[in-house]
Amino acid sequence: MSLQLAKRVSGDITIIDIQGRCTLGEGTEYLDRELKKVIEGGCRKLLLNLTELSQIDSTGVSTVVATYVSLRRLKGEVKLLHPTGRVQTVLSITHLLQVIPNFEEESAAVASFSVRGQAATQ
Amino acid sequence: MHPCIAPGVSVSQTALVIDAGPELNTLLIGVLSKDGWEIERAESNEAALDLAKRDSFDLIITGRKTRGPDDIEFLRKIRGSRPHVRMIILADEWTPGDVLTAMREGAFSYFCAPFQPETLVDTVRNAMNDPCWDDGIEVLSATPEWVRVMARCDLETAERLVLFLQNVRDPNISEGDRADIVTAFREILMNAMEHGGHFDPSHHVEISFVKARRAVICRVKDPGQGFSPDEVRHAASAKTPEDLFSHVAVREAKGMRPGGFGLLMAQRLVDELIYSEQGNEVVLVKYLNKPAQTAA
Repeated sequence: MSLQLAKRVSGDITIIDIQGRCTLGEGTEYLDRELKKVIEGGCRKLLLNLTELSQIDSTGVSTVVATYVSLRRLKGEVKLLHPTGRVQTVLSITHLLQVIPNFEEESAAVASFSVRGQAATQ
Repeated sequence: MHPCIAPGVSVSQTALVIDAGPELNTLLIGVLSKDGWEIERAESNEAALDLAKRDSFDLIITGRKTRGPDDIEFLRKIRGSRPHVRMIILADEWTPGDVLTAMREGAFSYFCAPFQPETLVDTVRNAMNDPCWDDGIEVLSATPEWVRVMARCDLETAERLVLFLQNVRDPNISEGDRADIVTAFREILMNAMEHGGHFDPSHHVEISFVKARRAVICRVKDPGQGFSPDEVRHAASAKTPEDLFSHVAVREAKGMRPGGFGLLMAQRLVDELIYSEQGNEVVLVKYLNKPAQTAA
C-alpha cells in the first residue's frame, strides 16, 4: 500500500496523519473508507495532516472534497495541515486552499477549531 | 488473482538484485522478502548476466555502478534469452534518450537519480504483482522529438507509463514544467483509461508526445465513444471557488466514486487542452518557460 494513515485525537478533534501517495487505486479507496468510518464514528472536527503526503491526484483531491462536503452537511469541519511541494500546487490550482481552511502549524489548526466552537456556543 | 495465473496455482518467484548500495539494497530486499520472493544478489551486470543465463528470474533490479546505456545493453542481452523478465533500471548517469530506449527495449521501469525511494518501492511492488506486464506498453514509433505509444487500459500500465515520462530529463524543460506536464498527462491518461477504456485490459489508449523547441504537445486518444466536455455535470468546472463542489451531488446521485477534478487539474497545469469533435481525443499543449538554446 502506497498510503499510510495514523489517527490521533486532540480533545474533540480527530487528526489523521496521511503519508505517501494518495492517488487513484488502493490508496484513495483506503483513505475514503477510513474517513467515512471516522465520520460515522461521530467525528465532527477533522484535521487532515498532509505534511508527509508526497503526491495527490484528482481522485485524492476528490476524496478530501467529498469528506469536506459530508462533514459540512453534518455541521462539522475539515481543515488541512501543512501541504507542501506538488501537493500544495495541486490543492492550490483546484482552489481547495481557498475554500478549506489550512494551516502551517498543528497548534494553530487545533486552536482554530476551539475558537470557532466557543464562538458558536456564545 | 491476476488473469495470467490459474486459480490455486502457487508460484515461487525469484528476484535478482544487483548491488545498488547498502541503503537501497536493504530497502529492496526488505520489500521482496516480505512477500516471500527468493532473492539472489550480484555485484555487477556481468555477474548478473552469468546468473541469468543459468537461472530464470522474474524480476531484475539493476545497480547504480553502471551508466544508463550500459544497463540498456544489459537489458537487451537478458531479454534476448529471457523475454518476459521484468527489469527495473536504476541509473545514476544517463543520457536524455535512455528512457525512451529502455521503454522500447521492454524495461519494466527506469529511474534516473535522484529518485524517491518510496516511488521505487511502489514500482517494485507493481512489478511483483503484475505478471502480464510486457504487452502493456508498445512503442509504435520514436524519434527524440516525436514518440507514439499504445498503452493497455489498466492502472499498472498507466503508472508505468507515467513513471517513464517522469524520468525523461530533457535539459531544455525546467523541473516545474516537467512536473506540470507529467501531472496533467497522468490525469488525462487516467480519464482515458477509466472513462474511455473502462480499465478493460483488452482496450488500448493511443498516445503521442511531440517535443518542439518551445512547447511540449501530447495527444491522448481513448477507445470510447467520446463526450462533450461542456455537458459533463459530474466534473468540477470551478469557474469560481464557490461552485467548486456543485458536481459532488451529481456524482453522489449517480453512485460514482469521488472524482471530477481531473480535467480541471489538467486545464490549470498546461496552456491549452483541446478536445476533438467526438471527445475521445485530447491534445495538451505546454509552452516551455525556458526556450531551447539554438545554434548561432
